Amino acid sequence: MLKVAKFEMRLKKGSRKVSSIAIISLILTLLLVHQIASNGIMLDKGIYSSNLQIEHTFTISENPDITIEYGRVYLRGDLKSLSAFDEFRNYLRVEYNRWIYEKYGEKAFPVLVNLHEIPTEVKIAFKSVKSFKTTPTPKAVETPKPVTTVEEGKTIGMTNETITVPKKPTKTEMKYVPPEKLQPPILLEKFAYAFLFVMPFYFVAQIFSSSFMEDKIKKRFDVILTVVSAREFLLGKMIPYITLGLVISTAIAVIVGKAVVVALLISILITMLSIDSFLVFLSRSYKEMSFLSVVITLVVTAYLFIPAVFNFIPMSKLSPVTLLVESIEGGEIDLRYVLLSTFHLALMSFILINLTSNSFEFMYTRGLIEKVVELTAKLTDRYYKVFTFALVSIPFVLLMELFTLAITFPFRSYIFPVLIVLAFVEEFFKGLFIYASVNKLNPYVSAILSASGFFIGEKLILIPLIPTNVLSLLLLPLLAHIVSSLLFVLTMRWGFKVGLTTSTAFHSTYNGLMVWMLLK
Amino acid sequence: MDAVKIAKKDLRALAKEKTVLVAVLLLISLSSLSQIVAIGLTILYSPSFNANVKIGLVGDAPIFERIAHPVKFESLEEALASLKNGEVDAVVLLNETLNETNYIDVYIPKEDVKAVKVIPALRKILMDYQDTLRAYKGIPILRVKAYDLSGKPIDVPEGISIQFRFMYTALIPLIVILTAIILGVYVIDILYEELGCLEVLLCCVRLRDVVLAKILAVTFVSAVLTATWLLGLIANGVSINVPLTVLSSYTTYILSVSIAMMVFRFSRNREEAQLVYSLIFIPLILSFLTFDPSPLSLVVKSALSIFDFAIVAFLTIDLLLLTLAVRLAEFAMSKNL
Repeated sequence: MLKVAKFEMRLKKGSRKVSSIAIISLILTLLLVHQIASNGIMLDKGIYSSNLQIEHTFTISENPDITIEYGRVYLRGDLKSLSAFDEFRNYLRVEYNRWIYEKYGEKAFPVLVNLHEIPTEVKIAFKSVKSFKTTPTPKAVETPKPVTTVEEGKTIGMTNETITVPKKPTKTEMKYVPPEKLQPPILLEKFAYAFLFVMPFYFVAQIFSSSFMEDKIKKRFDVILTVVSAREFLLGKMIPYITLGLVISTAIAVIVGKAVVVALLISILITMLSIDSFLVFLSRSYKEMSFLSVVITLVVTAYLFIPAVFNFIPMSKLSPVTLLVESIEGGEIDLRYVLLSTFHLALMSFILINLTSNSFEFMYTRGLIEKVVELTAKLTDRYYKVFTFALVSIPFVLLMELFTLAITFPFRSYIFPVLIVLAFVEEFFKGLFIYASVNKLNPYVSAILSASGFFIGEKLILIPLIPTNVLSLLLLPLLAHIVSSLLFVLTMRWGFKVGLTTSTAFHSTYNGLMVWMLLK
Repeated sequence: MDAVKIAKKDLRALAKEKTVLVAVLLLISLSSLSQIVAIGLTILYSPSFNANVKIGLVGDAPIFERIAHPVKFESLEEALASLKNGEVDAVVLLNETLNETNYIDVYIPKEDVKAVKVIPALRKILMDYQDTLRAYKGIPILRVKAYDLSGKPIDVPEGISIQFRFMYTALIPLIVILTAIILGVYVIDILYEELGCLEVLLCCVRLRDVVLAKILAVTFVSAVLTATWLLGLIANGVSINVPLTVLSSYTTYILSVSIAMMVFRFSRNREEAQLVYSLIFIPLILSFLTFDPSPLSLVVKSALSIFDFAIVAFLTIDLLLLTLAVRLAEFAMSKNL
């Protein structure tokens, strides 16, 4: 494996010119990321206007977003002027807090709040809060200064971010803040940073895939595979890129000050590398590969980034980007979520690497769809494999479903078409394993196994994320999955598409009924 | 004319490959992100969503009770049990004092959509409470109210600027960066494509026409992509100054294409060219985020109908760079013959 890695390094060494550009680029990138992390992004300078000089985001204009006259603020009423007012209000609060602190001292802050989040299923929280009941009143405060936060967490003058309270006997670190500091758990402001941090990995994956494609086109595989196994070759090929990814992610982790960032970013990179290697297997030419690679990058981006917008939904923790943004934001990350998120990506990578390394023999033949069916047929030659494959296909199904949701988002008011598309994605995966194994296995048994594998996988990934009371109603969905798969078997004699259409029709009707009943 | 013919050939090949289709899909999904975000934020901040928050109180706090109308509990255990059952949405632990600071412990459900609903409501109640206590102590209170131009009061939602900032200072620049990258990678692709059959081609056309054809093809693709994302944003309800935004986004596009063409001159093969292109483009884009005016900050301003004369300066630099890049690309092609 290491020999392959060395070979890859030698191949990629290129001219001295390229290496020096790479080094300069890496250093510059790190310096700039550091600059951005400490000073923020400068794209907002002068976007708002006022009739008076306020601060750097505001310029003076004849048709200002906010007009300040005789102690009143007048707005045009469009989004820009409303948000200019929102920022002006925040600015005023900061200035006001500073002023009353200077004039009245501590007594200007009569209310300080400490927010405790109580986990709904774990009972540990009870123990730590019990002791507060007895001592709710006087608490020693270390230099109570008003909280003033300017954008990007910069502090003004002598003020502090938070007021810290010395450790209590319960060993709980507590932070009391003025009420205006309470914020809904919103991550958008750090969204752009997350994208900047993930972007280098897209390029690393791009370089990997074009190098791998080169191997395929120049038929280097044929030579190399006589000495090493396909899996060894594939992993060896990835080592240099993962090492490069490690260097980049460690640098980012140092800048952000969170070690967990490395695990999150590397899991994203490995997923992208595995997907790209599978794409190389599928595609016949350079062009086809870049086409597929762009599509998949798009799908993966939607899968990674959209959940971070809805970070208040537990499901969103499946995406490492949600956790990445949360850790940049400075919040405590639950290790369970990190494990869940990286584990499911690792599982996907493992499956893809196995698929690719099993596919070298028919890499050069057939079209795209035939290849997928042929590969699936090769792998699903036993009943337990049908079950297992259906089970482990869940992360891929989720990936496709999330992307579908993102694309169909403008049509969200029409819920039923969206339900049909989602049912189609699920039935496609379930049907694929039945269809591919039809020559070797009894399709009815495969249908039941595929449906139950799929069902169990679906619930396994959702258990840590969804309140337990939902899990009580399990029998009906399982039955629905089995019935739709059996329908697929009954109608697939007229072709895969017919089978898929029937099962999708049933599945979406079932989903539609469920949604209708819930809404009722 | 020859240039147009070659450009047409490139575009036909492009249409066949469906690459443009993918790029279009990408930009549409990105512009619908603005809607997804807007909805997410509306859920977070909307006052109607925050209405009817039930607060539980443990302790003695008459002023707080007058403001929040809480459900009273004897002990914290009892209140927390009620919180877990969902009978109350938050529990406040407070023994009010008028002379000293009130340290309030607030308990909310963790990792729950409910927390999203509770925090903004709590924030408002506690800020009102803070104002009442300040007034009692004789401390002046900050009241900022907004009025429309006719003098009617307007209620401006807290945090509305986050949505605004996300759309204009993150999403739109991101779309421009992605379009610029697609164009850069595309120009490298079509330049290398032509190298194979250049010798035959040159019997009938001039070398300059070949390079110009590539620029024509890229220009066409850039127009299609820009129209797509602009329409996508407009369809999703983002108001945007179209002419200025088009003008300013081309400052980044031309830069990206020029760099790609220069890289083509100095690289040995397609793979190396794309690698070097990304190595140069990443730090360049990052640097655009750190100073103002930069091509990207101009995009933000242009989208908001703010004209900055720096656009003229950047476009001039871009055109000079492009001229140089065309020369270099021509030279590289002639060297390869």
